[in-house]
Amino acid sequence: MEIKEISYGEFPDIFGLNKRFKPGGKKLKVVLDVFMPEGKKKADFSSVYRKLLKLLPTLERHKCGENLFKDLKNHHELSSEKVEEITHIAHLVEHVIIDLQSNITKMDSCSGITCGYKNPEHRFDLFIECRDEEVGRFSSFFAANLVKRLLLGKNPVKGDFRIIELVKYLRGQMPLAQKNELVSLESKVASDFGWTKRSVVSLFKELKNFGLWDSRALPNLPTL
Amino acid sequence: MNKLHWKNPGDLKTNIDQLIGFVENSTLRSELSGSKTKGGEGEEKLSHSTSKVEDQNLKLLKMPSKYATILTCSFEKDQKMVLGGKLLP
Repeated sequence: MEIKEISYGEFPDIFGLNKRFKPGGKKLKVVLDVFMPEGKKKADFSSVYRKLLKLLPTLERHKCGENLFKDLKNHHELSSEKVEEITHIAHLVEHVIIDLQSNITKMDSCSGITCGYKNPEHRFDLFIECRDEEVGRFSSFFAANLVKRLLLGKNPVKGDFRIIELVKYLRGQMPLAQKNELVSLESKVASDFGWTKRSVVSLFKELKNFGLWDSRALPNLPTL
Repeated sequence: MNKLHWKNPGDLKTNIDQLIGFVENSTLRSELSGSKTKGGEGEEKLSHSTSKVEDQNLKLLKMPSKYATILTCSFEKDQKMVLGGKLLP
């Protein structure tokens, strides 16, 4: 799974594709290539979903046009057809992005669409209502990275919980785009959360890897 | 809740305007089976999973031609939804 491009705008061409889109609202467009993880013939969506719920419990409140979560909660596996499966993965990433940025930026509602290309079939455009471009970008990279790890059978780690908590905290301190004095913040974060300074430095580094403070370059995330 | 998952309307050869629309809280699946389907060459078939149809013209959506499928979703903070789609008290 790889994010090819992220852009931010109104995208009027796709406005009518989800009647819940708010008129004039800005959206994040994420171009996502989805491949089944190497060595995996079939995704265990049910397991991935249950793991996601531990990290993002408000996923349960999402309305999904595909009834994706209903099937997963009932421990039903989804279609194993190759194209369907990568479509479900892309759609799951979209849900995670929506949940992350909705919680971080305290959006009352957030809608999106997952558009699958005719060619190449593994490519998707995700359009998601977005109040804060930088949080949207972070949410996109974090979501893609997280879903990829979970599809490989891994579990959310303590750092995942902390990163989400930290981004919420930082956004409450000041606009994220002005985070050019991070060093001075590290001690305060460590003190406020009771985390070690070392772990805070490490988390800040991860946040940079997720593109939080660089709106131009695509993050150089490790290949999983 | 909308469910959209259709072949691009630009590919449709049948008149689907009277058949397909968006319906709040309904599911919709439309698919055209043409020469690439088991329906046989030249045969066109349109199916969808709901009988609820509104008058909205699918062609008015102007779905970009490069897309084959669209899936929708939304999150509303104050509306507690369980997975089955029922509202919690």
